[in-house]
Amino acid sequence: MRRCRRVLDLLGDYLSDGLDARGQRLVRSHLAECPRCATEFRASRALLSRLPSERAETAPPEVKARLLAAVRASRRPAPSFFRPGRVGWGLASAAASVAAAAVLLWIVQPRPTPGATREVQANFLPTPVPGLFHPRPPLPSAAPAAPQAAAAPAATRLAPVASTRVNRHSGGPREDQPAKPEPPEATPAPAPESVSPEAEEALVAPTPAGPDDATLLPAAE
Amino acid sequence: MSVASLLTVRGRFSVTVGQDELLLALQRGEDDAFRRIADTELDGLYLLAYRILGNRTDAEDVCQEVLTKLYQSARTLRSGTVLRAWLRRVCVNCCLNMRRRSRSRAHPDPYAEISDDMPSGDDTDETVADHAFRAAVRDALEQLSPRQRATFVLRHFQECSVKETADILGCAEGTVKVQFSRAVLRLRGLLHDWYDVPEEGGHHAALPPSAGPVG
Repeated sequence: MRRCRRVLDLLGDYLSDGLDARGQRLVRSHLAECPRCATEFRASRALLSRLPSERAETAPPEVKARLLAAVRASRRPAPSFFRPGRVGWGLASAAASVAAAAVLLWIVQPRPTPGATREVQANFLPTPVPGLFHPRPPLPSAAPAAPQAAAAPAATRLAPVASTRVNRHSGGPREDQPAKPEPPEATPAPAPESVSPEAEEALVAPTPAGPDDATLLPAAE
Repeated sequence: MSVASLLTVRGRFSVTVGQDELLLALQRGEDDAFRRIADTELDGLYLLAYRILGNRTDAEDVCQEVLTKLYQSARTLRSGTVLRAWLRRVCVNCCLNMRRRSRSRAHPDPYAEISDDMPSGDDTDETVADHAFRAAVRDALEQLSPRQRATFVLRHFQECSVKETADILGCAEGTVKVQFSRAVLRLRGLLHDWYDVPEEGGHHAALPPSAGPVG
């Protein structure tokens, strides 16, 4: 009876090849001599054969797709990237130092020549924006100038003017000092349509050297 | 050393190397490694969770939990860890925890039967019977104790060896054998309407086939 109990405890594994050689021998010999356990064995075998293994089965495709999508989504925030001691931190610190360098450069940049500082500041202080982005001022001045009447032609003609001015600025920062006064006078002057064409000529002509500019213009285009 | 043992050693070695490479790739944070593991292991994990929990929604939740845990603890896994066994262990633990949590609820998922095992209108008699059988199996598994159920699912449905099952469940191999055999006996009693015990020739033929559990 005790032996039956032991064999019954091993029956499941006997059926699914979970026993070593000795265990198999033990169970087999007992089944041969114990009809009751042999019946148990047949019944268990019948049940297990009714329940097919699911080793080769797959999850429903939609479930799997959902789970894989969730995996991908949760992985996106990329903790792998900013994991301590990994490349991520190196990149992060590199980015930080680049940013710091940029800030430093920006701070240092407005003083290229020591003599110019006072003038530059004088220019910058009252109208910071036109001072910083010198090429801009003519545009806003001309843009309100060309609202209703000659909108399209004014715009087309403005474009090359602006570009030449930008070119000149990049060339010599010293020379645009004389041109400075015009933004204040251009912006407050709300003089409507009539200003636009002549104002452009005025903007281009009086700036540094007339003839040089004239030769420059076609060359640039 | 025989050729056969050499081959098995080589085979085992290459398997662990492959696993280790995958594990290392995972620890390096390679998305591809994670996706490959998820892709190959999800089927088994889902079916395991489904068999233990008895409904699809919970099984899917558990799978997601397992993958999250894999991702979180990838770096702490020792090399040589068998990922499949590790994943199954985490999965079983998540399932048992979930069942423990949901025991307070009267019925884990009242719509599980509708979504999983209800035959649809155009099913044949065979598939209707099949649905009924599957529902019966699910209910019978539900009657087992959680550890017994996990053992049975691993040993039978997932075809894990005794040792693998013991590793996954964190118990002795002897416990696995006993739990499995008792689960089979229990299921026989619960499902006796669903299978026929064949009469066998020889000196056992005279004995009536008993389907009920034996004490």
